[in-house]
Amino acid sequence: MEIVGEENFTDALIDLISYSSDASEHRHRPDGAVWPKTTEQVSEILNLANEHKFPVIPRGAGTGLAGGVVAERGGIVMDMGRMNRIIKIGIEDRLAVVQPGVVYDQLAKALAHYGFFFPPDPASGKAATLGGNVATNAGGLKGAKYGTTRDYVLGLAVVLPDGAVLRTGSKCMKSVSGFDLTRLFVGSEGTLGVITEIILKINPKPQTTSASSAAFDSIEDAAKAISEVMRSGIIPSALEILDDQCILALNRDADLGLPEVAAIVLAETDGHTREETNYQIDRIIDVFRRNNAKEIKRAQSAEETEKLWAARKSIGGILFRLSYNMLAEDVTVPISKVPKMLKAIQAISKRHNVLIATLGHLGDGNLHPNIIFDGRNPGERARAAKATDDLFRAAIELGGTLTGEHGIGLAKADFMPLEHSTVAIKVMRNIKTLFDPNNILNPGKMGLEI
Amino acid sequence: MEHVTSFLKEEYREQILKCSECGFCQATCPLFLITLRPAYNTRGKMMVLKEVIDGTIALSQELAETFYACTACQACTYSCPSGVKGHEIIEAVRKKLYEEGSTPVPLFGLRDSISKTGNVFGSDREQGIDIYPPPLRDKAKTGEMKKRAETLLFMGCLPSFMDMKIIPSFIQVMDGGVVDYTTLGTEEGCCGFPLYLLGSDKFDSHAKKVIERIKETGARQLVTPCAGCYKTFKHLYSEIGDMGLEIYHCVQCVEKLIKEGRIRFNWQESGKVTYHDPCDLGRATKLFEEPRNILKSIPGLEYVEMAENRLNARCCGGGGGMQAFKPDLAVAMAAARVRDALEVGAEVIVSACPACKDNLRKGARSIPKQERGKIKIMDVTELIAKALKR
Repeated sequence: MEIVGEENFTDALIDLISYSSDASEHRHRPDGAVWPKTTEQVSEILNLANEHKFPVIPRGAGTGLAGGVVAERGGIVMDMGRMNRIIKIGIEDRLAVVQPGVVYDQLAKALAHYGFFFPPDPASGKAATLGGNVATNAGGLKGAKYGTTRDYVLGLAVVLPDGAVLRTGSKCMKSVSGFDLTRLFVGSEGTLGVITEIILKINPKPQTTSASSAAFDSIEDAAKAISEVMRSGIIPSALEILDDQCILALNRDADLGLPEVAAIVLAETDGHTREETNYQIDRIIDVFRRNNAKEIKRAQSAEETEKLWAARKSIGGILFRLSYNMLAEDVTVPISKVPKMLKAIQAISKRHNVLIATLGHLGDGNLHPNIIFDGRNPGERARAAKATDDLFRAAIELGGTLTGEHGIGLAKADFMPLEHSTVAIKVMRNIKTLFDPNNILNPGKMGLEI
Repeated sequence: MEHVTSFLKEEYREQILKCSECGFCQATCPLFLITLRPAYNTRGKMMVLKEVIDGTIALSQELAETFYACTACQACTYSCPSGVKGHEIIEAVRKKLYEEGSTPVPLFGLRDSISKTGNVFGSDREQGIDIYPPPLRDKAKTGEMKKRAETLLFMGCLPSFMDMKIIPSFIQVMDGGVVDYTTLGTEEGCCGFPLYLLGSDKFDSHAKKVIERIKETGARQLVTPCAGCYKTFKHLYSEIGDMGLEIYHCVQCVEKLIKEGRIRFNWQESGKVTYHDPCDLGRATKLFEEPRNILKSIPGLEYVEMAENRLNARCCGGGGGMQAFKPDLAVAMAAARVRDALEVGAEVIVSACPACKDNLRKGARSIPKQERGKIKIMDVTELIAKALKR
């Protein structure tokens, strides 16, 4: 391809296969892939695609769980990984300007140098790119206290399907000038334009943390404790739950010697002094006690904190080892509905006879029921699909949402009408048509087609 | 369907199917980090293998590229949450590709050199002793070298034919420690590691011959300055036959000599020194502390650690056959590692692997002078020899 040069285009089989999937169950080979280096190149490629009407699928690191970068209808994968410069870190202005291919960890390291950080940290932060984080509005463990990616994007440069370059937002902390186009693109999953530059708000990094874990004999008690923490006036920097299936898997594979109870809850508080973080964690521990926690641990040092979190940090991988396939779901409900949702998950697991291991960021109601199955067995696959269906329905009935942080992609495209009214879907489809009348950008995602 | 992938052990097939394609290996693959090409990362390789298992594609010359585009550094294996042993699977696939004649042509040079002259460079065997210090060289030439000794020094191809400093330094250190040793002289040949990395079926028979020759010396221990030879003798040979002696890398031997007070240091220079973990000595065989203890025991030397070290050390790019297959990429990976050292202000990068030294030097040279400054690359034997109390 003349636009990017021979070395930045490929249709080699090994590349097409490596671009055929992300971390989801979906798979389809594209017809080619490009690695643009500049906004101008992105513009020229989109222009060409628009003229010849071939699909373009923007891609970051491909760590997504919803099939958002799978070339379901072929076309060209546009790998943004090589636009990976941190353009500017402006501590005084509290911002960082980056290209989309910058990896989360790369920015984290650069900011640590100044004592700053970019709070929304997805579990895949070592590999995931910021462009992908913005396009999927990624969340993470710190959501309860710090929000998600959306809360930190001040402005964007976006190439539209006709090749025009749109600049949204500003470098100001405040701006109410015109429509908030920035927010429209955050979480748009590459269906409206290709992000080529991002202005991010950054935070000073809290210097200290305190942590605690508590074991509960019933999931209801654990859930009640969590609701009470959220009412207590303390906002933990992380509040996580691991259910009995997670605990069993961890004890089998990771040798952490966890108590075999119904649920373990982990809490972390952060701040600038030890007194402050200890005060907060002690209030949380009071709540744990009042709700029948049986084994409470409180970390006294960085190493002890590390130990407490070891279970949570290794769980993702451990669950993948249980069988051949896993649907990593991320239904989210209002915090007050978490106890009901946890119960519903248990019932669904029983009803469809499938293993569901649940963890979650409970400070923001974001649950991760992981449906684990052997996809080589058609019966198991069908039961897993039915369980997913029920999971979505249960969440929506509780006033929740299909996805808290992974996105709709291909995985949940068919379920959009379950959550959104016909009016809402019509508006979304109109927006899609306005930006991308020829439907060249990431077609088939988010249920945007009529 | 079974027969298509019967070359893969059940264990490996399971692991391939369990690869969740999370992409975490991307964060540690040295080749991905410089090419940013997912097909070169282990996830890409596992995706290809899934299709091979499914029967949608067959292994071919076209696919061989991705399996030989690997430094065999093992970083993917250590970063995998799903327990996929990427490097072992890649080695198994290479065997099959070799058997089918799909190994990329540039790599055959290694095999042909070994079969022609016994070393990876195709050099004349007689030249292997030219780098010995004169008294030892004369003995080797006239056949007066000890037939039997307590310790056999195994030099390795790179030090014997391509490096000016490692062997003289190594011998000086062994003499300093009054070690009773002999060498194979002109009869030393390649340990066969390159054949193994290629996937060649000749590795086993080659190894058997080497074992026989080594046994003739009656030595009770073998010491080598080469990380690749060490890993090969220690781990790969154990599958083939009993060598009848203990295998040590020179850093283990030197650390012991220091502890026993048999060698002492007198460092004359000041400078910041960092240690680069060779993959074959680090992730593969877990000798992390020995070289660091040696460096830290040299007075006057200021030791600095790179951010990515030990299990997380970034590979220099010199292994896995990459120097033969994709020399430009091998050098680019080395440059990235040299930059890791520059970042912590190191003035000397010490490694304990001749291939690392060679490749890191190429990497350093590829960095503009004003950026690389006066950074030096040395083998650990050179630094020890330099610091020895005379």
